[in-house]
Amino acid sequence: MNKIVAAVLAALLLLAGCGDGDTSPGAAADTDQPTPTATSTTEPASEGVVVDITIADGKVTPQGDRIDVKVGEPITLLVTSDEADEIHVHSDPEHTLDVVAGDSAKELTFTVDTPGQVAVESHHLHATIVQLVVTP
Amino acid sequence: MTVSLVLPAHGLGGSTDLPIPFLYAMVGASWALTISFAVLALAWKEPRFADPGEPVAPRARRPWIAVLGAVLSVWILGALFLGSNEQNGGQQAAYIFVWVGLVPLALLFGHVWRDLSPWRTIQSGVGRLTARPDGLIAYPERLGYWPAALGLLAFVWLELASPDPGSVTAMCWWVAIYIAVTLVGGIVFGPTWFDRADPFDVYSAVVARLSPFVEDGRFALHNPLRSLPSIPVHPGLVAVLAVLLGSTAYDSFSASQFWQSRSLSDWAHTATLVGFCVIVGVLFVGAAVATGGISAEQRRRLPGALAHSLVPIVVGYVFAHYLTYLLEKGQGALHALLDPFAHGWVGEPSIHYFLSTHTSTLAALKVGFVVAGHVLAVIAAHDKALVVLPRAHRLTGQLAMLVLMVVYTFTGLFLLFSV
Repeated sequence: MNKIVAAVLAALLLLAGCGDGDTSPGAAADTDQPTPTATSTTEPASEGVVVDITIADGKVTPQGDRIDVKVGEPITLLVTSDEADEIHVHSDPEHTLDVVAGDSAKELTFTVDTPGQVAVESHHLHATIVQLVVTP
Repeated sequence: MTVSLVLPAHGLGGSTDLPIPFLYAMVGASWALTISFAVLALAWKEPRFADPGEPVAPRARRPWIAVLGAVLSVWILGALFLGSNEQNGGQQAAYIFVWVGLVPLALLFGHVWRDLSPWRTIQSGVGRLTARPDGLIAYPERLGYWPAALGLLAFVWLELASPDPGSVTAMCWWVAIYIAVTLVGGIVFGPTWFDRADPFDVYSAVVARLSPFVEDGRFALHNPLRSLPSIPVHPGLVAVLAVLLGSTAYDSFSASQFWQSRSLSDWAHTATLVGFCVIVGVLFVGAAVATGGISAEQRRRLPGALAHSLVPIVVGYVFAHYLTYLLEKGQGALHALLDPFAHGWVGEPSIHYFLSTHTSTLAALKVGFVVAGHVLAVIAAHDKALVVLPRAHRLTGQLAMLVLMVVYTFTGLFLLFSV
């Protein structure tokens, strides 16, 4: 019993030790996320991240991709669609982009100020377009 | 408001936690594995906790808590049914304070849900008026906890897999049906209905056995491993816990890139949610009965006898998965609840993201909860196995359960790391 209690305490201490070290912004451990599948649709713009989104024939491209961004980094969604839709950005607070059918792209620029994951969803297609992985 | 109807894929919108770093998952997994086999090899050989003793008659419901419960219920239901379809305080309260808040409430204060429950209050009033305090007919024993398991499944379906999980209207319908079923069940079958069939009451009762602070309704600091085996075993207990653990895992899994990159029907989501719960339950039953040297009747009783050991795993994973949801989204929910009709009574919400902004601390907490739950579960299962397994099979008979718990924990850590 004592051995087990000691082992449990040791485990907790070890984890707590890990936790205190690198909480400063830009901690290396946090940015090293699992297999961030690179998306061909993301191009490094002069400032911030630009996400090209195409809705055509009832499908959205990309769908489900992860995009790494930093807290406070501007994110621009460029949406071209062949049907009316609403794009929802599930950050706190949330953002909405009304999309109309047509050739010209609709644009929405925002920042996310809290670390976390923010889903960008097509309301009509019930699909997650991209998930923003927002690190400090 | 033009920014209307921002409907999320889950019950409530907003951002979710970052994945935990790989190193954290690895450290957690190593500790879980090491401690598991240390328990098996080095721990005590005679049961220490598994004799719950005589069941103590539950104390009478405390009237002041019943009044508090009635006020809170009217408030939350009023906000839900009369509030707007956006930022509905009642809906947020149901998903955050009722569904997630129930767990820390039961851990800190025991099964106070029993005192808070407005449905129990109404039933006891009706029982007094009709001079039938125990209902009209006896609760059928063979139903066990199955109605509660179905109710829990219905709730997680609404939140995670229904056609429109963010819909306030859908929740109003769900709650209306729940209230009708609960009141009719309570009046017909008496208080036993709440003990076995009310999903939230049963969830709270089960978690309360893990409370180190309250035992049998009284404040008494004690080892939770001693009170945990006293969960009353009835048919469907494993199903209740399987729904809780399976649905939390599904909630993680459904946010994975693998799942999001697919366009699937509502039926596929529903089937996958049910599949997660069924797999968790079937694996548990399989691991529980995987021993030699017992009769068929004894084997049939094993899953129920060991079911309590799942509770710490459920609680650990619920905390890991929903902690920021409770403490950060909870601030928004409280604000919406204080201003249920959006009249600006309490100003603009200011939410403190004290967990999200400390990513490493949050990751360590999450791993800590999962590993702590795992360790408690392994010890609880080991201790009970010493009672229910024949002497010759005590070590080998526990092995399947130990391996399964390691599998549950590794899966939980993998989901926290990869999603």
